[in-house]
Amino acid sequence: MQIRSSPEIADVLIVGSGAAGGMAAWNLTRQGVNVTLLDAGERFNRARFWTHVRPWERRAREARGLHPPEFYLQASEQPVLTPPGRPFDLTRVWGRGGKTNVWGRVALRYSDLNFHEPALDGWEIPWPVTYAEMAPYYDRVEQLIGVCGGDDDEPFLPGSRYHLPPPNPRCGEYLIRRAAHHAGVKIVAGRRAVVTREHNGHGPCHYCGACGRGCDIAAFFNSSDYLLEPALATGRLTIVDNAVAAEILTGDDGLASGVRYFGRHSRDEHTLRARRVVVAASCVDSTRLLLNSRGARHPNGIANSNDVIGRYLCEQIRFHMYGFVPELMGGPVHNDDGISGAHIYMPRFVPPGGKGRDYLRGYGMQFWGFGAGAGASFGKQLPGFGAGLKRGIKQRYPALVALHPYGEVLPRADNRITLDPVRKDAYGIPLMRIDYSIGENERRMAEAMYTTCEEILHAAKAEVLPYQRGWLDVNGAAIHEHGTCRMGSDPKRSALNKYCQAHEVKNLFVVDGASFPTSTEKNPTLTILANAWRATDYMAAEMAAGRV
Amino acid sequence: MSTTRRDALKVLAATTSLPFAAQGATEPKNFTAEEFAVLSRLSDLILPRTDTPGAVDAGVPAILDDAAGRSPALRNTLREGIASLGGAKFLTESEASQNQALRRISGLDGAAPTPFFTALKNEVIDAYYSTREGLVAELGYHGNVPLAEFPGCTHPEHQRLD
Ligand SMILES: Cc1cc2nc3c(=O)[nH]c(=O)nc-3n(C[C@H](O)[C@H](O)[C@H](O)COP(=O)(O)OP(=O)(O)OC[C@H]3O[C@@H](n4cnc5c(N)ncnc54)[C@H](O)[C@@H]3O)c2cc1C
Ligand code: SF4
Repeated sequence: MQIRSSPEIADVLIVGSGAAGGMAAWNLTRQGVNVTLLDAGERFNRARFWTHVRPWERRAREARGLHPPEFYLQASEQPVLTPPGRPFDLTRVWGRGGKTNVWGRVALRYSDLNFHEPALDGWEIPWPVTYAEMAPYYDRVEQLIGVCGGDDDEPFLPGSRYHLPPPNPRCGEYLIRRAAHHAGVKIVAGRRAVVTREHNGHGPCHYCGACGRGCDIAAFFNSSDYLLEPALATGRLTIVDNAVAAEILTGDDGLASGVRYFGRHSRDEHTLRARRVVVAASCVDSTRLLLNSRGARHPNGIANSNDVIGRYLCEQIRFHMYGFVPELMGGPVHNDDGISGAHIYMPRFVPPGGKGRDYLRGYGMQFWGFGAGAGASFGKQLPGFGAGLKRGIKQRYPALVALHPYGEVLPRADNRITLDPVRKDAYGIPLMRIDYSIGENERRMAEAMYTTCEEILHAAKAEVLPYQRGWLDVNGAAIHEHGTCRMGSDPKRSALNKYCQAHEVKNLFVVDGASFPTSTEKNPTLTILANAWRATDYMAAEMAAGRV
Repeated sequence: MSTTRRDALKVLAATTSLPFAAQGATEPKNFTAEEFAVLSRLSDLILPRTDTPGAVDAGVPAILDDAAGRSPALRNTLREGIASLGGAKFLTESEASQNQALRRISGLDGAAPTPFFTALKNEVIDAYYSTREGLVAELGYHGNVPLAEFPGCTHPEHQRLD
């Protein structure tokens, strides 16, 4: 192994290039700041995406030894340790753009309540930011990346003046909207970072419905095309690909002085000095990096003398319910692809007057997988076999409706990420342990979530596929990790100030979802983008003023 | 060789030729020729040819062969299940008694479906509805293509709120 040290000192060193790191790089470079960015992977080549490869074509290609791009980091390369019987299913994409290459694109504003609810119910700390402070950044992000959506403006889902035209819902979505209306549940237009008309040189979407395989024309937001490329065009961004950050180095003054990293494939060790470090490796990897940065002044990990970092991991609970609506049974088969995923959304639902609400916080609902898809795996749950089964599947195929509620998990000090004292990865970086479980509040909320789904499907007179009340997806499956390096106004209970700057290390910023004090019931990426923009605006101003 | 086994092999010759001829392949990689013939028959019992192609028409047995190559557990489950149905002898039975045998393990008679039946049915469904025959000819799927506009629902009766 070889250790290489670069003689240069980066003005700003960013770790990670997903939503958070991409935004930080874009916003700083356009303000004249020189940035070096370390990314654990490399650019995914859009020309090689299998966006338009249908299932039978995929099989034929694979038979010829071809493979689609591998977005996901394999657990064999970076194992995650969990206690027996308590798995945490961590999804990671290492490479330029991170998980935004394949994300679900649901782009929702948090509401004022999302930010200050902890102050009302007393559970852990509120955000040090209000909706009023975040709103201008939501406006800017939506204008920059393009988010399609309706003109709904709901108490739990603030509206926007900047939405691109929303795609028309599919038949099943209208029918579910009506059923929900009868059940007293409001359904609104979905909001997704898909450009339904050409926007800032991207798109438009051509409704092929294959976003999960990566969009070969970049018609949905991904950090690589929408942020990194323009940042590179300024000439002020240098990206080091395949650079796995291991440790933030600190000087005698306790300030961040650079990063030690490894070549992903070469395994060579390098150090890069920097005046300021921005951590944006996504919640869990950022946390591992911070905890592994144990300089003389930071025996418990950098900026962690109060032992907050690694704790309060919070995600969301989720399950899936499927049914078939009678109006569409045996009917014509349409192309239901659209922008892939739901064209509708259920903002947080609370029964009138909070009736029967015996849990804190709340849940919203997505509806992916309406109508004719590229498969019929629901058929496995129909009884029997033979011509009857075949007929049954065909009849139900256009009538499929799918409900996927997401509920907030409360932050708890014991839900935490730590470093394993013994086991290490190929570079010698300690493996992380994720110790996480849900509690009574989530189980009670899950009951309410099931009831809402049942009421909607009942009102739709739907035939419901068998399900087990109370069943939940494996923890981690919602891929919305937060909380382990949270912002707060009380430095004793938080690691970062309201601008994602470490209380203890002023030239260190952590701008991804780790900084969120709560998980909310919503998909976080729009807020990650808005928040990283806000934080790096502050950072640039502090730099200009000579304070960091 | 016993008569039944000889009969079985005759049926086998008649049935195996089809999926592999259709696929242009030569022989199964993860099953014996007899097992594969039974697997083919079972696939067609689960999703038979009707006015549209059945599982064998769609090349499902070869897809199952590949799947078994990727999963030793699946391969075992399928091989043991085939053996429990009598192996190649199954092919000499009448269609009615083949259906009867499948019915017994399917859960339709009250007991839970056997792990073999569940694995087989799941694999056949996943495979069949990922082929052009299953997805396009049978179900009418015509997605994953570029469109200038997405029409969505065009039925006012679906769009009412009350
Ligand atoms: C299938 C799927 C569907 C999703 N759907 C939605 C959705 O509908 N709406 C929504 O809001 N969110 C969704 N998400 C989540 C969304 O993708 C993330 O919230 C978002 O990408 C987080 O941005 P990030 O910058 O924090 O992390 P990421 O996008 O994960 O980027 C992390 C970056 O850090 C780099 N990195 C990691 N470790 C290191 C290291 N040690 N050294 C150097 N670099 C490192 C990686 O290479 C990567 O570039 C989905 C995710 C997936 C996978
Ligand atoms: S549906 Fe639109 S955004 Fe999704 S992959 Fe197709 S063109 Fe791209």
